[in-house]
Amino acid sequence: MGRSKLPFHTKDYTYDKEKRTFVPLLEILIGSDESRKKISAYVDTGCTTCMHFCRSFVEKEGLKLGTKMNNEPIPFLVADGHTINGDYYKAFCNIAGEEKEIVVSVIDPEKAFKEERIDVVTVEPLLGLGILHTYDVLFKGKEKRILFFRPE
Amino acid sequence: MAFTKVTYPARILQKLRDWGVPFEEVSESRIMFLNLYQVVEGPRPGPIDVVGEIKDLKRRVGELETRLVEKREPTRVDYVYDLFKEELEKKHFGRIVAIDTDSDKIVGVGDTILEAYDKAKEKTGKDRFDFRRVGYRYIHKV
Repeated sequence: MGRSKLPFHTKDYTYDKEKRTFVPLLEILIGSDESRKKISAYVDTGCTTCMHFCRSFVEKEGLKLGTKMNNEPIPFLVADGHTINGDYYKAFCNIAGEEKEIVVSVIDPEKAFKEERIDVVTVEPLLGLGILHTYDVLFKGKEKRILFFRPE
Repeated sequence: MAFTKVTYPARILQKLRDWGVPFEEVSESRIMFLNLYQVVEGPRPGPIDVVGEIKDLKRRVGELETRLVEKREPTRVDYVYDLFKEELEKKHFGRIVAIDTDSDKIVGVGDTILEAYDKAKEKTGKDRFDFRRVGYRYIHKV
């Protein structure tokens, strides 16, 4: 894929005091046609959907994610090897003014694991591998920076 | 726990000696040593918290039961997928298929879920489908 010379958006990694490390954290607008909301999301390429939420986060933030795409629950593989059911939504994602239609996955790990520790699944929103396929993204690990280009 | 000298009645001790049963008479100096050693090494572990252990095991059993119960039975989608499984795994391994359970047909195939969805929507006019990744038990990893 060709790449224009200048990125349309650049973001330095954010320092996470708790984890004592730099993390690629992005602010994006997400939502349906009618309503968009600004949220922060970790860029995590281990997550293979475009964007991933936990149900509790969606409810807490009152996000309207647009059209649900599935009838029956969809099986997702979580980091510890278990399969959890979830749903797909068709939503719009806006990164620095560049808007794309993406697929958002929503699962409910709290319900699936009940009393078990739920740190096997990150509760924060994740921008996954699908975003790299939708936008033209470059990670500059040494400079701790993430760059977004317009694909030619 | 402090070590104390256990003394047997003189009558019993004499019998043990007469019968030639080997036993060790614990001296005062040895008791002192054991008590000093304990101070240096720290207290010995207390008895097992049985109530806590049982509670933890009950919680674990509950979680396992939940998972087994939540293991879903084969659905209509699985049935339709199985009908076309052989052909799909030959031609479209790793791709995503959109399934219409009303007509029991595969209505869209794509590299991404959005591609499969758009093809299925164009073909049927509906806006909800079911999805499977060919050859996998899940569609995406999170």
